Amino acid sequence: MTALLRSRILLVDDDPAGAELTLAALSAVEPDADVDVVADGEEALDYLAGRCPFERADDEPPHAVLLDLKMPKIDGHEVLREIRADPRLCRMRVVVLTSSDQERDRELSRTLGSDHYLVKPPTIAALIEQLKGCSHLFSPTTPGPLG
Amino acid sequence: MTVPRNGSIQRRVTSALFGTIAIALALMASGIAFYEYKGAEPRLRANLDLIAESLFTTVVSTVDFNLPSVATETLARFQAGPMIQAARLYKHDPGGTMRLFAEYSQLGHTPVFSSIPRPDGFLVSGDAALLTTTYVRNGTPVATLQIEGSLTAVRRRLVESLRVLGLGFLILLLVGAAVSHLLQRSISRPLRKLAETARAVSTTEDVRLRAEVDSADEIGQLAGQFNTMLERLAERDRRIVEAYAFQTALVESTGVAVISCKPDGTVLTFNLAAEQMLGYSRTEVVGKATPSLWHLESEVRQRAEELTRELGRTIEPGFAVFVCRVSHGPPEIREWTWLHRDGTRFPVQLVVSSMRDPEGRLVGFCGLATNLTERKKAEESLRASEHRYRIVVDQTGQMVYDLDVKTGVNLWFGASAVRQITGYTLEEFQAVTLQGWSEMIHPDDRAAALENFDQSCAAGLPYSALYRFRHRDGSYRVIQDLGVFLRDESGRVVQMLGVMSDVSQRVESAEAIRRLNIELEQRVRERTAELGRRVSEVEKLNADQRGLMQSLASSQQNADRAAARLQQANSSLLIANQELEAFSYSVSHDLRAPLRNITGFLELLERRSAGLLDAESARYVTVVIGEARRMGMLIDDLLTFSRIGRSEMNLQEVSIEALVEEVRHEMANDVTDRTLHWTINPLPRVQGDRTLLRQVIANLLGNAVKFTRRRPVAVIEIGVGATRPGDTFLTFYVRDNGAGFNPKYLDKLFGVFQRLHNARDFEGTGIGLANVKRIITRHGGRVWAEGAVDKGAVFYFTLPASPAERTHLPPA
Repeated sequence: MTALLRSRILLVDDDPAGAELTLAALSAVEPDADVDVVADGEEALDYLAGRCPFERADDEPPHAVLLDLKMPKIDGHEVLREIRADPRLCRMRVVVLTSSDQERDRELSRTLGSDHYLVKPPTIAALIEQLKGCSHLFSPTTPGPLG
Repeated sequence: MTVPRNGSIQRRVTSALFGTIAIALALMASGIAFYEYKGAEPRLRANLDLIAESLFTTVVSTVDFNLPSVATETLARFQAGPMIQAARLYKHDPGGTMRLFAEYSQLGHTPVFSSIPRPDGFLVSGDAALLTTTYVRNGTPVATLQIEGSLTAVRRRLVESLRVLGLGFLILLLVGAAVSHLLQRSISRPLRKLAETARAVSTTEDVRLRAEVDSADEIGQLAGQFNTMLERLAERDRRIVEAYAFQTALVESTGVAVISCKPDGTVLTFNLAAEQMLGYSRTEVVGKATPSLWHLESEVRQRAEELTRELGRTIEPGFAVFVCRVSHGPPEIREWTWLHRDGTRFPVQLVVSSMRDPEGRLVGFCGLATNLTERKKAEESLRASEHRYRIVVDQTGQMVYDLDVKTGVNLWFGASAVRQITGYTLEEFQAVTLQGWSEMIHPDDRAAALENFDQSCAAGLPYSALYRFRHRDGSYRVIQDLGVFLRDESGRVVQMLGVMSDVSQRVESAEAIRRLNIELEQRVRERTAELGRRVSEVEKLNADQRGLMQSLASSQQNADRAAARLQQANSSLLIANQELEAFSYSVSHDLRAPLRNITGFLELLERRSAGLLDAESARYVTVVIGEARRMGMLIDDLLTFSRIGRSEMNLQEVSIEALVEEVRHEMANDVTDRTLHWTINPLPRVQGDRTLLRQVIANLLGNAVKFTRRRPVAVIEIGVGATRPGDTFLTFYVRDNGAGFNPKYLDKLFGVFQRLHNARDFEGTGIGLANVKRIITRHGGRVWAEGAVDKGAVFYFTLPASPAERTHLPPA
C-alpha cells in the first residue's frame, strides 16, 4: 500500500552535476520518492512513452516531472507541449526547473501548461526551500489539473 | 261607561256627547214625572179649597135669599174648566136638616159620588176626588158645598211636560250633532288626516309626505312634530342613500375585489372587480358559492394544517381557514393563489375582516383582494432592471454612488471598479463610512476635495474633483469624482449621485504624450542645432573652396561616404545589440549553471566534511564558497545592468515613500547590530517603473548603510528638494554621514566596475551606482553626488513628478 502511494518523479536535466545537486535537494524534500533521471528531452519523451530503453513493468507514467528548459535535441518547452498533447500524460504535474529567469521563458511555460516554474537558486539550501514550496505537486494523491 | 276602543275618535266623542245628554234628559224627565204624579192630589185639593172659599159669599146670599136659580147659575160657571166635573149645594134648614139647593154636572159626566151630604173633607176614589165644605155663619151651618174634581185633568199636564222634554231632547240631539260636527272639524279631522299620513308613510315608505298643520293647538303641534320627525327621517334616509351610493360607487369602481360572506361562507356581495378577477358573475356566486370555489385546494389544506398546529384545535380545510383568525381578532392579511374560472392562477393579497352589527354580533365577513400579478411582474422587472443596471455600472469600470445627504448613508455600485480602485470587495467597501472614505483621500488632496464637496453641496451645483485615492495596498489611484445633487420639493439638497473614475491611466498617458513632446522638441532643437552646425560647416567649406569645382565634388563624395559610414555604423550597432542580447542570455544561463554547481557541491562538501577538515582547510572551503557567490553576484549585476538598458519601461505612479519603507524593511535584519538614525521627509509620488526605481532606492540606501558602518551612530536622511512652481521634475536626495569619497574621482563614481573603496574596507561589485545612473537617465532624470572623504556623501537624483502630484504642486 505504502509502495503504491510512493511518489514517482522524473527529473530531466542535461547537466549531470546540476541533476545530482537537484537529486540531493529532492531527497531532502521527498525522501521516499522514486526519482528517475534522463539527460535530455528526447530521452524524457522515450521514458514517458515507455520506449526502449525505458520499458517498465508497470505502464503508469510518473506523478511529476521536473523539467529543465535549455537542453540539446528537444528542449523543455517541446517536451511540455508533447506531454500536454498526450491524453495519457496530460494530467501529469510538470514543474519547470531552469536557470533562466527570462520572462518570456516563464510566460511560454505557463502558456504550455506547466504547473510551476522554479528558477534554480544559487544554493542548495534555497533550492530545498523552493522545492518544499511546491512539494504538494509531487504527491501521488493530488489530482491533476484536468481531474 | 264603556266606549268601544277601536272606534274612531269622532265616533267616540259623538257617543260620549249623546250619551251624556240622554242620561241628563232621562233623569230630568223621571224627576218631573215623579213630581207631577205625586203632587196631583194636593194640588187638586188646594184648587178645590180655593174655589170653595171664593164661592162663600155667593152661596150664603143665595141660600139666605133662597135663590136656587142663581145658585145653579153660579155652579154652571164650572163648565169653563175641565177640572171640575160636578158640584152640589145643600141648604141647611133650621131643623138641622139639609136639602139639595143647586146642582151642576158636566155634560155627559156620570157623578162618581152619590148625592148625599157628607161631612167636610176630601175624598179620593180612582181618578175622581170629592171636596165637602160647610159654610158656617155665627156658629150656625148655612150651606154645604160638594165639588167633584177629576185627577185626570191634572195628570194630563205630566204628559204635556214629558212631551216638552221630548222636544227638548230632540233639540239637544240637533245641538249635539252640530257640536260633534264642529269637533270633527277641529279635532277628529286633523287627527284622522295625521293618521292617514302616518299610514301612507308606513305603507309607501315615502317620507316626503307631510301632515297638514292648520291649528296651533296640541294637534297642530303634534302634526308639526310629526312633520319634523318625517324631515329628520328624510334627512337620515337621504344620508343613508348617499352613503349607500358612495359605498356602491366605491365598491364597484375599485380595482380591489370586494367580497362579503355570511358567517357560514355563502357569498353575500361580489363586486365588479371580483367578477373581472375571477371570471364569475355575481348572480352565479351570490347566495350559492363560498370563497373556497376560487382558492387552491392544496393551499387551503396546507393553511388548515398550519392553523390546526397554531391554534391547537382542528381547523377543517374550508371556509373556516379564511376566517377562524378574524372571527375573534383583527383583520388578517395573507397572500393566496386564486383560480380564475378559466383555470389560470394568479397571486392575490387578501385582507379578511369580520362584519358586526351595532350590538357586536357577527353578521359576516368581508374580503378585499388585490391582484399581485402586476406587482410581482413589476418587482421582477425592477429586479431585472436593477440587475441590468448593475451589470452596466460594473462594465463602465466606475464606482457609482448614491448618497443620502441627510443620513450620510451611501450606497456603492460597480463591484469590479470598487475592487480595482480600492482593493476591497463591494461588501467591504459598503461598510466604509463617509469619514472613512475621506480618510482614504491623499492627505494633500483631502482638504481641497472636501471643501469642494461642501461648497457644491451647499450650492447644489455639480461637484467635480480630482484627487488621489488610497488602494488597500497603500498605493494611490488618481480619481476623477463627478456628482450631482438632487433636491426635494422644498429645494433642499437631499441626495447625491456620482461616479468615481480611475483616471490614472489617462493622466499617465497625457503625461507620456507630454514627455514625448518634450523629447521631440529637444530632439528637434538638437537636430536644428546640428543642422545649423552642418550648414555653417558647409558654408565654411563653401567659403574655403568656393572657387574649386572639384572641391565641391569632393565634398559631395565626402558627404556620401559619411552617410554610408553612418548607415554602416547603425547596422553594426543593431547587430551588436542583438549580439549583446544573445550574450546576456548565454551568460545568464551557461555561465551561471557551472557556477551554481560549484557552489552546490561546495555546500555539500562543507556539510559532509564538518568536523573532519582541519581549520585551515575548512576556511579554504568557506573562502571558495564566498568567492563563487561573489562571482555569481557579479554576473547577476552585469546582467541586470545590461537588462536595464534594454528592458521595456512600465510607467506608473510610484510612491518613493513606499519604496523607501519597503527597502528599509528588507534591510532591517542585516543591521540589527547597528545604530541607525533615519530621517525620512515626506516624499512625493513620481512617474516611473516601480521595479527599476526600487533598485535605485535599494542601491542608494544600501550604500548609505554600508558606508556609515564605521560610525557609532549612522545618520541617513532622505528627502526632496524645494520645488518651484511649474517643475515637472522632483529632486530627491539621500544624505549620510559615512565614509564619503574623494571629489577628485567624482567622474568615476557612476562608472561600471568603478570602485572608490577597496574590497577590504567596503565590499561591492562596483556596479550599483552605474545601475542607478542608467535607471535615472532612462526616466529622463539626472543623478549626481557631493561628498568628501570622511565627511559623508549626498546623492541627488531627479525624477518626473506623477501627474496627480503635479496638479497638487503649488500653482505658478
